[in-house]
Amino acid sequence: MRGCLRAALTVALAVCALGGPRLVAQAQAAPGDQAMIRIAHFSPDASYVDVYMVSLNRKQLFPNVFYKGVSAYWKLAAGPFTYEVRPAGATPESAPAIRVTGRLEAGRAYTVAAVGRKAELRGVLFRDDMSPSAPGKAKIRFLAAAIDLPLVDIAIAGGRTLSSGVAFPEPTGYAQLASGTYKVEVRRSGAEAVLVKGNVAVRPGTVTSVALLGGAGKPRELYAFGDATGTRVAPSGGIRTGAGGTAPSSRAPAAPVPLTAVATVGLLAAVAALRVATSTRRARA
Amino acid sequence: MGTRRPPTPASPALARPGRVLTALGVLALILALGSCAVPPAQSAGPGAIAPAPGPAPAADVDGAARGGAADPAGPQSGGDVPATPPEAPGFEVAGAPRQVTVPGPASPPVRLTIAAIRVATPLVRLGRERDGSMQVPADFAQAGWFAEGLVPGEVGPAVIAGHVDSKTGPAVFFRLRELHPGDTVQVERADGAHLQFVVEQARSFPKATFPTAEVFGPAPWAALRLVTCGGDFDRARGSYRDNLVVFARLSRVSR
Repeated sequence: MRGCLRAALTVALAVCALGGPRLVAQAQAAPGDQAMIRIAHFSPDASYVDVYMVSLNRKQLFPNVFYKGVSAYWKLAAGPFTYEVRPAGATPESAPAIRVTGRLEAGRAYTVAAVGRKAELRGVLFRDDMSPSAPGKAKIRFLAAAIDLPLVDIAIAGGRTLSSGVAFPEPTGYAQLASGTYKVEVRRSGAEAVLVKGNVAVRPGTVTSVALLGGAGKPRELYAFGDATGTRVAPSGGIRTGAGGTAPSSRAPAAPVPLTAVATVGLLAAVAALRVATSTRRARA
Repeated sequence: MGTRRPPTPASPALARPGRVLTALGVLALILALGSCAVPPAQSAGPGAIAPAPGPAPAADVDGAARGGAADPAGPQSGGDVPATPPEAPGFEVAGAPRQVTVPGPASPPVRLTIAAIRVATPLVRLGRERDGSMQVPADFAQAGWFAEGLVPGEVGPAVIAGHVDSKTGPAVFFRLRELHPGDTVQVERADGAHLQFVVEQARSFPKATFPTAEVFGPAPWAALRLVTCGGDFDRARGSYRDNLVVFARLSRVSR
């Protein structure tokens, strides 16, 4: 019986050894070691593309991603990743138009986007900030992805400047705004000339990205999409959800010892007992 | 959490050392085989790229798209892109995980059912106390929804709290600690929508350092957090030291 078991275990271990790297990949996909990512397509004249995402635990193909397409976020293993873009329908073996490699940090969120003219397509990895806004406020940031624009300032019409001197293809920092609809103007940096304008509505607790898009025949525009939504005003501290009726009345016993530790101790004790028994017998003999 | 485990019948195998060894061996075997099982989407050879998997492979750990309906992977009309309101983060890209939300106006949740731990409770509305902390249900047998926050089914974290015990015995969320990733939680709303959430993880935090941002902060999908107490009971304060938080994500909606 024991021999059988050992053989089976050996086989199992051998099988695992063959699948080693995969094991590692799965181990690294634990919830705490994951990042969030989404893809976006902001190249105005590269109409359809195939996007390839290769990470530790997955190889994914998103076919026929179109201009202004922004996916939902999904989780994937933190660690190295590769992002490749090919013209729609191109074979996976062909040279990609874009290839970006990088590392995703656990617990962070990212947007990876194709930007620029078709002839000079490039990939950008934006870091998205999912931390809460101030109570009652909304967070908003801009992605300068329109081609052929000079350095720009982004401001609320008749109000404050949210970001100045923004260059393609940079993200701005996040600004906090009260709930409402804002007339946003994109101006030539340091000048009054408005290059693009549009309305952006935000609700408290939300995180919004606004891409500045266009060029190469496509209209210039502000294109808003949500990143995430949080609680408008979160309560503070822990939550008092227990009165203690099932808590042990005396001093709490020691934390439970993991089963394996129990088994190991038991095994050692058994071996020790056996040894003692044997030596006793010998002594008698 | 550590000091109070739910009553589980003692395994008869534990009574006999020989059986324990065999059981451990079998367990090791199962673990070893299980951990090298190859999810279907990963079976493509090195260098090959699996075609659009729709939602994530079912065997994947993240559960990001688990339970979501399959996406049509075909091309989408390029000229027909709807303007995306900020409350709907991203829209669908073929092959990308699908965003499950409840369309239409938000409607309050009225009932919570968790078959795995035999919870079936109406939901009361909860706000904040004067000190800014979250109110808790007055009835130990009922759970409550944080009504100043988000509604289950809209993007962001909806929060439901229930007591682990009263002064005399177990309360509505006594068995919350038994929930595991993959378990499902049902929420019924006043508009008749039935929402199914899938548990992604369960974690304990000291109340003194309660992670408000993680529990109440921005989430990119429709999420649910179930909160109760755990850890040691501080008799001087009449309060448990920890909060147990179950993180779940919307996976299905039916009417």
